[in-house]
Amino acid sequence: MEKEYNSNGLQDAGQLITAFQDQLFRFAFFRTGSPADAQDIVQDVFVKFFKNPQRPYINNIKHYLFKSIANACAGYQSKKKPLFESVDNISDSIFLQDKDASAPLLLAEAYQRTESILQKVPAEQAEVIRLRVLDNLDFTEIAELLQLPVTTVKSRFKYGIDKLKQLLHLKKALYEL
Amino acid sequence: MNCNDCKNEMYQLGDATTDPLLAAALEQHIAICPSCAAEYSSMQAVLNTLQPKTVINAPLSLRQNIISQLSKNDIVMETTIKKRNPLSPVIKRVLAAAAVIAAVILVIPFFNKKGSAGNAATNYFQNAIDATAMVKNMVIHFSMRTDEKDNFELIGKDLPMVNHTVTEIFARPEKWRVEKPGRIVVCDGSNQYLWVPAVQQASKGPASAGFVEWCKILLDPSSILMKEKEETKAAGSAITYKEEGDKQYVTIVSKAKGNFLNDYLKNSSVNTSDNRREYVFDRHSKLLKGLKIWLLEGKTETLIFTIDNVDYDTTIGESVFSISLPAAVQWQTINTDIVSENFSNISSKRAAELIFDALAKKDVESTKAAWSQFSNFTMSSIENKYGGLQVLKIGESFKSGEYPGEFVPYEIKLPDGTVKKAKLALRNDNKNKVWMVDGGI
Repeated sequence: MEKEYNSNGLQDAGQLITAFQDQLFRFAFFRTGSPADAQDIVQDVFVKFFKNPQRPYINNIKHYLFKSIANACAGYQSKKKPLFESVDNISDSIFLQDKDASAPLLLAEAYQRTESILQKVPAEQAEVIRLRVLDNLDFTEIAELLQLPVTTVKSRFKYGIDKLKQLLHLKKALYEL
Repeated sequence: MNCNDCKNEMYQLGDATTDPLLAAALEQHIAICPSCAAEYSSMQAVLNTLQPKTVINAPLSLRQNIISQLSKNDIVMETTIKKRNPLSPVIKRVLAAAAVIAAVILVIPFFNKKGSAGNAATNYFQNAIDATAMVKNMVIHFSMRTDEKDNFELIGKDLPMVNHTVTEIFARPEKWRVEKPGRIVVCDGSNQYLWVPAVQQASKGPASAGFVEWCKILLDPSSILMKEKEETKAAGSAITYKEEGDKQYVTIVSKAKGNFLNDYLKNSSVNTSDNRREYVFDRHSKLLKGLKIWLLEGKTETLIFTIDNVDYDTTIGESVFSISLPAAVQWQTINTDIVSENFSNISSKRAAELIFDALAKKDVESTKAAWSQFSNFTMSSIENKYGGLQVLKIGESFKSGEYPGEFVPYEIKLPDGTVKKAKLALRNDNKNKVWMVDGGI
């Protein structure tokens, strides 16, 4: 699939957007907590990508887009915006596809639930878990994105999951008492 | 493999880059070791807990906003012009033929971004986009090469032309009906209803359900026109136009990629094919009245899709947006809360492998979750036809167009000796991300 979108073969912006928009939106959403900001970030990254005169020479477009979104999200965090906006402030208009009034609430719940779990492990482990489980990147892609050896990525994932497994067991045991 | 190794490495299962030998060894050990199976189950529980319980996709407006912004700035494909590839022999042949016709009608091949044919074609599409925005309803009569019993996604150059009708009211809530001889889908503004008479399947889903698959794009003709408008500005396509009587014709010849139709085809058996699309607009109303798409393979042209006519602002009765079922059949609400460890947290290709393996062993029960949208009647037919099959090849999965799932190419030998090559449509846009069969079987 990736080869279809290399710079020489790229003929259609719409096709490229369709291929990556969901994954990139989820990526941005789970790092900003705001669907509206996630949409802005993804839109901005795509437009900059298509404007980039070096675009024909970008070999790995998926990596480039993820890296750009990651940088934009890092900038977003540094501006110290609230991690998650009030449910009341989330516009329904961007969820037209769901035609479901509960969509903003479900998103808020999804974000808060996931983050509350990931906060229980060190940040660097949480980020690898986020990339693997929520963004569905493989270990090699994660290593490229974080510029780490694959072995480091794997061990962070393993230790993070082991920790969460213990917590889940503990929680289950407490409930059973 | 021993238990220690298994427990240390099991987190690698499901990762696309994991050594297949390691994955196989892990799976084998987990299958026979209760302690490691429990550990694996515990890990899966953590992964499931982390998964959002709702499908999170980009808002519809995102793509449109990006395209609009790019169109406004006229920057799309700016850089590809500099790296334009030489014309293929096929396009050269088409242009040679066009040159002959030029003597009698106005035909201007377009190779330049600023060329007059390109500008004229851009105007036709823009006029049609503007005119479509004022339309209150439409009925599209079209045909495409498909199997009338299969889903609305399947397109194959060797299949027969099958008549379809799309009926749509654009008022809020939008109501529509997509129909071919073997399948009807209706949206009444609140829900989608799928009726497949041959297998007595009557499914009910939310308004966002994907029952019409690829044909969904025909419910939004503006999106097709916008894509083609972009194409008229891009390099690498040959564009001609002509006006005859009350009709305006725009023909676009391009590679089998980058348009709304063939992103599916380019991933199938016709990946090297060029195609030609001929649009017909009404000179007065500016509206789209027809579309024909041919695949160009060497000297062979195959018509694969044709819109024969589009009626706009016509009379459409409310009864069009409901389906009367036979007395013995009830609507079954599709279950989006299927839970299956076997069919979640794996690739679509792996899901296809499990599905076909089970059919080969005549053990469909073990893959029941993946078939949960199918009626017992359908399942019985599938078991009869496919039970004991032999898997010849499972290809790499791919995504296509607006379809939320993935396609897995396969080649199987049926018990009666027939070899079947097709693409299994699988989707996991459900609460628990369980891969389910959606068509292509």
